[in-house]
Amino acid sequence: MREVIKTVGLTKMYNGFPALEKLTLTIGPDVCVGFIGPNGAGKTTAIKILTSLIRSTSGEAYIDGIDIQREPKRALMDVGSVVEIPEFYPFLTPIETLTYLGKLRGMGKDYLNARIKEVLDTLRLEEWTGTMIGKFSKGMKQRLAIAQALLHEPIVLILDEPTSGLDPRGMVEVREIIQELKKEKRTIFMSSHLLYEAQEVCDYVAMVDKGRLLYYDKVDNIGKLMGPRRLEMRTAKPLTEPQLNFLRGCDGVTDVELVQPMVINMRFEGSDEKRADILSSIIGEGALVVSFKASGMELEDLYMRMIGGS
Amino acid sequence: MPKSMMPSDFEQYITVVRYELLGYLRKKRLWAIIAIVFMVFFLAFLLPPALGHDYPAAFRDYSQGYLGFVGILVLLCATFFGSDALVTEFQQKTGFVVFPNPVRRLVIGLGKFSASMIASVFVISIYYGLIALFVGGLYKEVNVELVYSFLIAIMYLSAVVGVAYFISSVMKGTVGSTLLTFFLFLLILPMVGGALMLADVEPWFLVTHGGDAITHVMDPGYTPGKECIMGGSMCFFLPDIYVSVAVMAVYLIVFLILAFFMFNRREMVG
Repeated sequence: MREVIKTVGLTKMYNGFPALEKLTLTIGPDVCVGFIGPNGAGKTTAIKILTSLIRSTSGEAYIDGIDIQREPKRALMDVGSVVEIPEFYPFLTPIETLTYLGKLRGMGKDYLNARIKEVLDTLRLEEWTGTMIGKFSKGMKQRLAIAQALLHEPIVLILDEPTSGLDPRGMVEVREIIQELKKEKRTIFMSSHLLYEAQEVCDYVAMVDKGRLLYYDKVDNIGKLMGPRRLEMRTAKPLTEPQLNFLRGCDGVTDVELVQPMVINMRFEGSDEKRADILSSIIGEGALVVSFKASGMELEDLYMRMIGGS
Repeated sequence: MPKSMMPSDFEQYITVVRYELLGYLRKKRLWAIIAIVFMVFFLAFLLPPALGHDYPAAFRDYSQGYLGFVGILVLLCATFFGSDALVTEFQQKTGFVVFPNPVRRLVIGLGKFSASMIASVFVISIYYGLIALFVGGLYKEVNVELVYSFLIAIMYLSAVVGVAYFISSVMKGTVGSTLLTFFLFLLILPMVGGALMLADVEPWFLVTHGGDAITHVMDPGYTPGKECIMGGSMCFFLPDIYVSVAVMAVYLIVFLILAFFMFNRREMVG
């Protein structure tokens, strides 16, 4: 398998304190990997090493087989990145900024002009093309940061909390952009505080805490690891005792709990088909079901199990 | 449609220079310093007759007085264009956008330095151009020593900007970097030079001492070495012009190499 991003024993020490400890991670092509963990876990440190902003104390980092620390210019040629909430030269407009960065990347004039228009439209900055960035809000700067990361249509995107600083609408839009980029066969490595975001957008999840990698697998596999899922059922009328007993007797259902008269939580282990059977059966028993859905997220459960107590 | 091709270091260098110069124009620093140049020129031109004095009889006397401001002008250029050039990428966090691009930091540093020098040389040239025009009209002569003075001023400028870049590469903030650059050349080094002269030591190795050569070169009878006044109770040293130029070259090379080394090593933390 082609290794688009690879780190081997990547370690970064700050005054004897390990910000990142022996991170070994291999990311293949055309996948989106969510890099999650609490504040100070080492997410941004790893991303900074991968974007040549800092050097590792030991270990190696490669982009498409090129050592980022030995040959940063070559390694970064096909990488787009957003690290922290970046600042731009306040005396330039978005068009001038993108032209500057595009020229540094060797983009041809026509291609650059076309891409500038595209990314500014995509990030809803088309009305601000001639405004000095010094007048921009934090959210607008974040959108421009994403625009410059997409400018050269990179194969690899490294994003450090890309929705940070955005309003709810901006967050949704950025998630949609990332979903679109996934369809275009790009490798995306993004850190996030938002577990919902990571589970919704990413194919894989890498979990770090205190500089160490705790978990790295497909998002789809988290369910298998976590065992029974929490389900929540809401009804229009309170369930009768026979209906509750019926629910308790369903295959795969455990821990049925009446949280409120019309809200029932339960644990369930089994396939989606089995879950659908339970729903149709309880409706058959006369229950007026308003909603029947997973409560909480598997990733959240995993996170709390691995990191929550630390 | 051609997409991206790995640009050469030189192409990237030109891009950096162009955008840095655009920054000087947009930030109004260049205009501010040009305004100072014209203000000084007009004061030197208008004040003597306004105060009822004649202009000095000799072209050299007038020029020497006028050129006394070049040292300050060089310092202003280094402060305006060099003192925060590198540190700003870290403090203002613009490095988070610029550094992850496929461009060597040395190329960014060299581009910034070149832009600082272009802007500064432009300012110094205006200053010298004005005096050449004025004294040419007033005294009907422009001596070749004015050209020598200009060349020494550029050399001095390079050395001071080189030191400013070094300060900018190691300081944490733009304010500290700017103040240190300004007061280092305005107060600290001249005071050290003065103290050394009081101890009867020639401060030939101080770039500010050599900077005096900008005016001394205008005097054809100029003799470097120790000179005493007030019956020998107060002595000072006049710099050797060749030694001064050599010291400036050493300052430029050493401090610029150190600046780029530090800039390259510095990590984008925080």
